[in-house]
Amino acid sequence: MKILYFSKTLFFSILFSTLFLTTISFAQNSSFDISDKDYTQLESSFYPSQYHLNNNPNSGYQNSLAFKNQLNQKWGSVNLPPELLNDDFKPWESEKHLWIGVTEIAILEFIPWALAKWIRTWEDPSKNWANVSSETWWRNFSNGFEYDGDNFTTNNFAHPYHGALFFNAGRTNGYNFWESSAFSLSGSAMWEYFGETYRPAFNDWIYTGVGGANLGEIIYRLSSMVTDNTASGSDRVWSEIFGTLINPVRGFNRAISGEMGQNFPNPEWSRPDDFLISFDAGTRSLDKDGDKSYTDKEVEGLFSFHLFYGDRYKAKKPFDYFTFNFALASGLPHFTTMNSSGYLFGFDLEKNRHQLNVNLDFNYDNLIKEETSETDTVYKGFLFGTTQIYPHLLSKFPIGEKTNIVTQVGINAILMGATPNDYYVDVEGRVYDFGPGAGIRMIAAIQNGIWSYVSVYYYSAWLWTQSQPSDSKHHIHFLFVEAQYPFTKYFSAGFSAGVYWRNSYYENFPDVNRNHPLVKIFFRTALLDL
Amino acid sequence: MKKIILTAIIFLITGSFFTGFAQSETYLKNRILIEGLYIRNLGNFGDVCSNATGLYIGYSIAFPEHNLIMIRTGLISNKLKDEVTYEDASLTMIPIEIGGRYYFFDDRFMPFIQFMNGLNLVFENTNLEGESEDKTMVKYAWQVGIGVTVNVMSNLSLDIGVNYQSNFYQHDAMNTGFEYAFGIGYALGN
Repeated sequence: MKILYFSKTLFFSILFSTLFLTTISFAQNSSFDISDKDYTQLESSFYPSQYHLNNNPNSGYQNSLAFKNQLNQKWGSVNLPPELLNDDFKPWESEKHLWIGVTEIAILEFIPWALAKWIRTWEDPSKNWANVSSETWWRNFSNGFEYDGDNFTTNNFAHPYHGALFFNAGRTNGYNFWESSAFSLSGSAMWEYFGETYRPAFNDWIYTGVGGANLGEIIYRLSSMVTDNTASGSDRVWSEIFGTLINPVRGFNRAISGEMGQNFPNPEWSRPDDFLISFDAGTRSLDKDGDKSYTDKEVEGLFSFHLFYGDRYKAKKPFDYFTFNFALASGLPHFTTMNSSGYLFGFDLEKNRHQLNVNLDFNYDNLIKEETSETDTVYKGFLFGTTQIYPHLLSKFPIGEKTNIVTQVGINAILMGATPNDYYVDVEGRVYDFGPGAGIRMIAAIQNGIWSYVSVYYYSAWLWTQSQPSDSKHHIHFLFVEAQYPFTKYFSAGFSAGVYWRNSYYENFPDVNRNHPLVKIFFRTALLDL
Repeated sequence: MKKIILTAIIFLITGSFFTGFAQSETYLKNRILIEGLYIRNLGNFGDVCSNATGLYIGYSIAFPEHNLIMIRTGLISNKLKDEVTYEDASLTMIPIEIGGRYYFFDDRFMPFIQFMNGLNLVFENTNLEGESEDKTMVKYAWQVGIGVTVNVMSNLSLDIGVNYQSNFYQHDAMNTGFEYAFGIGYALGN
């Protein structure tokens, strides 16, 4: 039965992938040439490969929003005479608007609070967390932080998104990345202390404040990229709609400042040197219970979206270069992966050879749905999340005319990590634990031009978790090997094999070791390459 | 000790007096800052340790547009509440912190907001329940607050601030409280 199920899943995954990729292939511009442009993003080894399909950056993309082929421009289009551009227009973000930013944070706090307070129906009104008063505020001030009981998706996705909106209340009102981080941190702190009756949660503050800065800068840059100030007509309308969908706070500010109706030059930084979106589809088999018998396999379709923004060798300001990955699985949990890594600052040790960089990373891996019962409390799922700093040494060693070995060796400095805890079940349903941590990361890949033929990835983290049972600590490892072969200049197929394993050590309970092997096959294509 | 402190103060004031004439365009400068502090503890922690006193010594680096990054360390000693009678109990902390200030103006009177965070080295010989145990812990600490820097002379300033802190200690007894600080800053260079 399992074999039948596997065959069925595999068949549909391949069928879907083939149909989808065939459609994409026909839509591609026919004049693809691999350029020699040096991509060395190592993340591509594990998510997409870096395709650089055409020296003409507009080819294959002429139908999309703000990017026009016929004007021989890489970014932006001018579909009205250039003399009509208002060069004297003063962009909203060229000045700081503190009080508008503060007001926007207040609005962003008020909306969810008001929904809970007046719209939502509570079976037990005493549980309405929006019933705040001076008494609850003082209690929160007096008691200080704790770790809350929210589920993994709320803590690791919803909170960073809310923080991203706080961040953009600063970022789209003229503040730089670092200053806007203060908006997400303070906006989160305000919510924790004043917006809920619950005691403020430290994990929420980190995920919302720091994770929000990470996600916030990403949506700020993507929104700025798709919005074209030089366009008019339907092009302009759609670019504003897409920009607002990606970053609602920026859209709001563009509306109230009148920018949506003005034609003026796009900021130079908003058009990155390199940009790639790729997609892969395939199937993976993952051992669920992790008991090393490898009999409880989950076979599922996996669809992944990968985005690369900027050139890491030219990055100067935070998030001039970042990667973003998102994956959906046919099995539960469907929303399985969302990772990002953004350049914060760095130093050239040897130009184009060795670089010391510091990134701000965000990881959300919800791989196996947890299974717990009253009789068996041993946790069977697997999840892992972090908000972390990643200082690393990036090196490139030429071994041929176009072939390099590219390596990364770095430290995972985890501000807040999430890991399964076998003996902890919160009354609100949280079945995992939090804590700071540290570990190492090592990546190596053989790259020929744009392709990573073989790559190896190792990630480790020690997490010191904070909830009961106290004094528990967890050692998490990921190890993967991936190989792929490009059948055409824009299409590859490959496989990867690896393992997620976890050693959990408890002060008052038996230790637990879990080992989840994984095998994946996939087809990969570039949807958009500029 | 008093002679040393007195000599240091005279040195600072004299130095500031002479450099004060060479007025620069900005008051925002790299500074050494020494602060005395009093903390009124809150919550379950405050039920046992009512207040704390201590000292910070820090160095701050000025950045464009009214920003300041600051590193500091110090010593904080907590005092038991009058009705708590644990024998020989002491709870001392050494903060090692980094953070920053944003000044609203660059003028003689400079109001600011401040955020500091880092680690507290916590030394206790009796826990909050009154059990005797020698324990050293490393806990996360943070505080946020407001204050004003008064530039008495070009190189000499006085700082007054109030901060809210919520440092980690125990899950049910976080080291929360309001800190009142008074400091003297000495700017290096012009």
